Amino acid sequence: MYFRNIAYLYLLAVLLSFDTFAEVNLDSAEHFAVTPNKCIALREGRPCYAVVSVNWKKTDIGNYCLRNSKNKQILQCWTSQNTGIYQYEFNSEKNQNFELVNTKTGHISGQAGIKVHWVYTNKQKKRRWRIF
Amino acid sequence: MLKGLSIKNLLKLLCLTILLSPHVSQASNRLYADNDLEPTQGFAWDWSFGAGVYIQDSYLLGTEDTNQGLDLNLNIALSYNNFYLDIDNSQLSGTLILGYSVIDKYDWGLDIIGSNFQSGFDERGIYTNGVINELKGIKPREYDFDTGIRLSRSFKDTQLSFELLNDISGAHGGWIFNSYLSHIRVWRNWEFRSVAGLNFYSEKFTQYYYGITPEETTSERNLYRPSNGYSVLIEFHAEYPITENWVFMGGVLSTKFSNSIGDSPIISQSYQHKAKVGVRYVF
Repeated sequence: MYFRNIAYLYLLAVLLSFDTFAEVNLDSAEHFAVTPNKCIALREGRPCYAVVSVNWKKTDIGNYCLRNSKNKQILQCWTSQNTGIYQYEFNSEKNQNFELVNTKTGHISGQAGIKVHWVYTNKQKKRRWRIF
Repeated sequence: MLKGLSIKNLLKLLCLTILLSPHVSQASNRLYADNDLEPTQGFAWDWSFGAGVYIQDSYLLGTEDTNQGLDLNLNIALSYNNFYLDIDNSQLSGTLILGYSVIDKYDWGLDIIGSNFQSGFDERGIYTNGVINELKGIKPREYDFDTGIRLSRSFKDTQLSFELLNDISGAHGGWIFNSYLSHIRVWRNWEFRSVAGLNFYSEKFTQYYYGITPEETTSERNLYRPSNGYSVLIEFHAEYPITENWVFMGGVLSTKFSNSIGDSPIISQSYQHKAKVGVRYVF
């Protein structure tokens, strides 16, 4: 029984590790990554919750701003930096993409995002409630 | 849960229907929470499988205090226009339901349903162990299959429902009246479901399952003819998405039986608790 329980824990640990986090290559000179890059909610249409971290690194020191790719809303800016981290609580039913902009040149130097997935989608007929 | 029901042929028919079906839904919705969705026309189906560990105490005399083990289950949901079939044993309150939606408007629902309600048992108990001394000599109590109507009313994430069912399997032939109040609460990516229920059983039901006939009496088992009975139940169930296909789930279910059941000579306690944790893979 003890070994069976341990096996279940291992199974759960393996499942939890699937596709939960985006890979961030810290060795490369430049990177721009959103972690996690996937958010999974239970039912279609329901907002998905995740603590999201946006990490970036540039070779050149400069002034950079992180903004929403779609509505161009500025989320955070860094002055005279070549690295930065932005963390926030994602709570949306829609995908969200980010881009890093050099405020001096206007050059977009990185794009990444978080995608929302659902386990139960809305293609099936309405289910009947049954309690016992 | 499905043991004792004559569903082998039904499942064959369902599998054949699935194979011949031109339309296959790749998605799945589960019991309870998709009450905001509009029914789709035509044929639709989904399926999933689950695995979990459970623990429950037994209310039958002479059986072990607790029973635990691994539970594997296949869940199938089929619908064709107003007809539907749900076989869902991933959660503790899950079962098989055949139904036809008569009315589904303005948050009201009226359905004709058929379902197994009570597990059968004999002198070997429910789980087909060896003969239990305390139950030796009792006649087998078969699984029932009840049909009737269900009236339900939804209030956003809450639902109140009433069922009036009659056994047509020939097991007890009695009536059952059920009332349930269910609520779904979402917190972050978790979904919590809670249910409170009150069930009434006719004399035929209680006497068939919990009564002792003259042929079954022994020196330690007296004649027993219970009157109508009832039970109160409460369930909590939680689900959390692990990946796009895997869902973690856990739940507890407690039932308290009335004295007419609890006083039966083959019943050791008037309550039962069940708990389960597991995962479900959704296709």
